Amino acid sequence: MAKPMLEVKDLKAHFFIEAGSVKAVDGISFTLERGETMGLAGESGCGKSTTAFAILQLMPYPGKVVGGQVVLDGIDLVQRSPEEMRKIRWKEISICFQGAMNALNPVLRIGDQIVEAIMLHEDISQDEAQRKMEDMLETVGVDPTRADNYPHEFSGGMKQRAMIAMALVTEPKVIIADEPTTALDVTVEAQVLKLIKSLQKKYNLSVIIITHDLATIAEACDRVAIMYAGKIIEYADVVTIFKERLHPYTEGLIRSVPSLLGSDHLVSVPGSPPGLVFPPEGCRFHPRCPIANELCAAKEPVFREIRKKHFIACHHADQMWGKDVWK
Amino acid sequence: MTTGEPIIEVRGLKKYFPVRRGLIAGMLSREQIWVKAVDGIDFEIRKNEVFVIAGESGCGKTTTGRCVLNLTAPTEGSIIYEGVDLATLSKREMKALRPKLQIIFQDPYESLNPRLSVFQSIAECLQVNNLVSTQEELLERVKMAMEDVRLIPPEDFLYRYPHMLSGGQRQRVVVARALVSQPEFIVADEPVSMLDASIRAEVLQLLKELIKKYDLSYLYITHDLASARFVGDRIAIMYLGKIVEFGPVGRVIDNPKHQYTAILISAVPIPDPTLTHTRRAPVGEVPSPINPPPGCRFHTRCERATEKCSREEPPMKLVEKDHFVACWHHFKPSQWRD
Repeated sequence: MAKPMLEVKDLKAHFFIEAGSVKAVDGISFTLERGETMGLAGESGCGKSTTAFAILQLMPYPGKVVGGQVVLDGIDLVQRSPEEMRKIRWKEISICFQGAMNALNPVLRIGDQIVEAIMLHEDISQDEAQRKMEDMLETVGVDPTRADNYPHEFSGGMKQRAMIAMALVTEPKVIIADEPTTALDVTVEAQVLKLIKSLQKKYNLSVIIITHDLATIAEACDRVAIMYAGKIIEYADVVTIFKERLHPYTEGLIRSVPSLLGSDHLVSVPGSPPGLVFPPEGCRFHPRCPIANELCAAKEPVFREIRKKHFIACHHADQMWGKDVWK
Repeated sequence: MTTGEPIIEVRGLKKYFPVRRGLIAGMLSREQIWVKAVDGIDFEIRKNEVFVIAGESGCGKTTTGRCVLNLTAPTEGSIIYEGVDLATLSKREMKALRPKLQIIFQDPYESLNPRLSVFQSIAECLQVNNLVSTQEELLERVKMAMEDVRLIPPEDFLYRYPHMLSGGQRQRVVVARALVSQPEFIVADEPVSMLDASIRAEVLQLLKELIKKYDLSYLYITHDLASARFVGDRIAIMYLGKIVEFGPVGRVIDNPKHQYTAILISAVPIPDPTLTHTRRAPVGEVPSPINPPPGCRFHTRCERATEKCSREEPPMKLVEKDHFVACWHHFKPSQWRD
């Protein structure tokens, strides 16, 4: 098999504040193959957006990548200088920031913002960049004559499309989409996900979709990593996650969402996610877990491959088959 | 579950907001431009039911909720509660009714005053309306409300401030604040949309349980049809300031009659990767509520639209038991297939 597109190994990114260090991302590992879409799911504060920033070496102050490797096509990004990173970003890997409403510059025309991204990363003339920008807008379904508009003249869906255009215009191999559909209406969300899928096929992209919305994951992703309190607790292909998941947290998370087809009883996971300055000892989920015992409180479970391509961090994973722990 | 007797009746409700223009533009044209946020809607909320208003952002659902409680004065129309039209009441008369008509806002991070403790936030309503005579009674009532929303034991939370609470706890304080005056009717405007999935279920279940305990009725405003199905009894679908369809929630979702409802439902993603469910999305964007299309407002995006649709506005008509639709070409029972 070919080398994976992106390999994250034991990545750690912490924020250093007065109270101590916030272990927002605390040793996560996964691989992303070429042309694959991976979903990174979890609740707010679990570290999923920080993961994106850590991969791109864009950690905001007072955060820092404190360990691990991010190997993109054979190159470890953690070892690159800021200067080198600036060349890799957008050319090789780009990001579609969360909240397209706020990520675009409100005082610059949409077209100019995209042209700026091209000119910074490619050695071409202004006219060529202009043409490229217009083609890209067309590809994402925005009328190129609207390139002279300012962001406030765009609807939410159009802004999201413009963000996608900006992330793709330099033809990167990997794109990270941070909550690409969160603030959008379902009808617009359907359009945007469809667009991402078609562009992925067209450019053979590897995509990481970061979201808290499991339905988006079910619809758009090949593989899914579930994050909890700075760790990946389960990682498998999408069907396994939805049909044969083993981690009690994954189970609770999925069964807490009401279905359009009707649901009599919803699971609610008691308590709330822990603070990450002093996360719980042992398994970080144990204070909320219905099957936790002394072992869970004392020892952190190893992230292991329980069967082919199904990774899990839970002491009780072997006894979980076909069991309903949330009764 | 419901007795069928209405608790709130809304008739011909309209809310227009003036568009502010610059001085010169205002002087040059005489005509005031209006955003027609809600443009003539009728519905009734029955006793002990959860009536859902659902639609995309900008369809007028939140404005409707605010008008029903007279928090925003309607431009036209009436809201009948116990034989009284709320729209005609003065501020003072309205204030006397407020304890019976409450609201839960969307964002618990913004709807709680960060400088008030949990006790102060919940007690305020009782104090302002002189509903209790002694300090002991006040504390007792606040604690009761807190127990009902499972902030247990209340002593642990009474003197905490919002920043010391998690999102789910905050939203339960907001619910307790609405419950403490023992209301008959609550408008819940997207009460769980800002919460994480694992806590959402808990708050939804709580809202349902409180119906029996407090003899409540809700107007539940949401864009999330799955949660609507979970808590709701009847549902109204809004598009550009109008109700296009309403009826029992299961029937509307399983068997929609309006093209817009059908598309809205098929656009909802189902969290099951093995289902071959093709999401459909309407073409184009929602037109501006300043100049809504003539005739049926959805005709510009509707694949079933005919010439008639662009001319005449379809009336609301009964198509099945308790199920109404405003469409010239609504689906017949066998037509709707995904």
